[in-house]
Amino acid sequence: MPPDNSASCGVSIIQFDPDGDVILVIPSEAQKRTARFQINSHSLCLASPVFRAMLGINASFKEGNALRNRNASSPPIDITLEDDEPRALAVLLRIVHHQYDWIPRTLNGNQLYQVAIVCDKYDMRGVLGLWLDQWIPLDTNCGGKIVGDQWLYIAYTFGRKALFTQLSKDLILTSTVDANGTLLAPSSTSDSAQSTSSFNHYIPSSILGTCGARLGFLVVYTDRLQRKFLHADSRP
Amino acid sequence: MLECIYQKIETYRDSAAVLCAYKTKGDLCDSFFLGFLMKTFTRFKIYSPNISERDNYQASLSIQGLKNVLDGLTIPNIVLQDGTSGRCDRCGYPRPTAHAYTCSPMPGLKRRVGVMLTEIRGLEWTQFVRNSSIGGATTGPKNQDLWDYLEYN
Repeated sequence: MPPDNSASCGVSIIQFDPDGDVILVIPSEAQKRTARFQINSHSLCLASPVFRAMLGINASFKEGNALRNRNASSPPIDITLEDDEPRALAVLLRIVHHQYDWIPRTLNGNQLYQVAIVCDKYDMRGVLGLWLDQWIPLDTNCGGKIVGDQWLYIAYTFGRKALFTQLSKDLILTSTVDANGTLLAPSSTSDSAQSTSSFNHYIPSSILGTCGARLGFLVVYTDRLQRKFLHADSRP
Repeated sequence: MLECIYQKIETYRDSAAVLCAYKTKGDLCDSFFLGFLMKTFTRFKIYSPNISERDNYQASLSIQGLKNVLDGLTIPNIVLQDGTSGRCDRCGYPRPTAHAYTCSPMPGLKRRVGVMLTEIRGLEWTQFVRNSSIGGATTGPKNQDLWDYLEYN
């Protein structure tokens, strides 16, 4: 039976498990809306070590204590998750609760990116399994409307090794470094030096640092090539 | 990224200074080529006598951008001939194209930058993958039979 969905007064309620012991509350201050997802905490703990740390039997968080103290007649406990994209979280919760008919067969770049953020935050890549093959076929074109470093983040989060290697190479070739050796994102316009933007803050700094180091080496090597071929060290 | 090229252009920008890196008769190829380079770079706003504009351009130039710049350059089809043999004193080629590719500095630089780009490798995902100590591994089991692994005691 499909879950009951209802929306009223800016509140959207989805019962992923009608007998669920937890309601995830995802407020959106900007849009004055709130999503309430009734879920099974055991399923979620199996899917996410982050939720296991929060809600598991050995959890020391107040949410874990509240769960342990409830009985069969107790209402589900509310847990508020700030800053999550409810639609992306809902996709993951559908998978966790085995409601495969409710899972989109395709996701565009932005939707994938939103799923990646939630997936990364709660360390839930493992539950995606074959859905990733469905959403990101091997011949995926990484162009489109979202910028390249978002695709890099998607490839990193979802463990797409070849794609990650290819995109990180592209990033090295198209980025610049400042005087401090800090990697600067490719500019969105081709001819303005002032339009370099910062990178997506979800990308681990270790990745950007490694890209910056490799680019720094390439800049030095390029300078050496120029000196060799243009005889810059033997000015007339 | 283009400091050396800019430096060369600056050297040859003074039209009164007919200079050559080799300072020998017939080896004007570099100065000739760099004069051409200077004009081309100026035309495409890659080079500007204004240092601030140059710095801004360089700051936005990536490795791929440098390759694009170099790929966009054509080699001047000019041979500086020795008056008697009709061949270049330096490379010995009489034909303009062969001469240009031998004596001009830019083809070699273009080629090496191209080779450099093909040799660049991206990052290895496994270098950055996280493994959770509380069981949420983001990598699956390695080298394990995923069908027949039940052990009965």
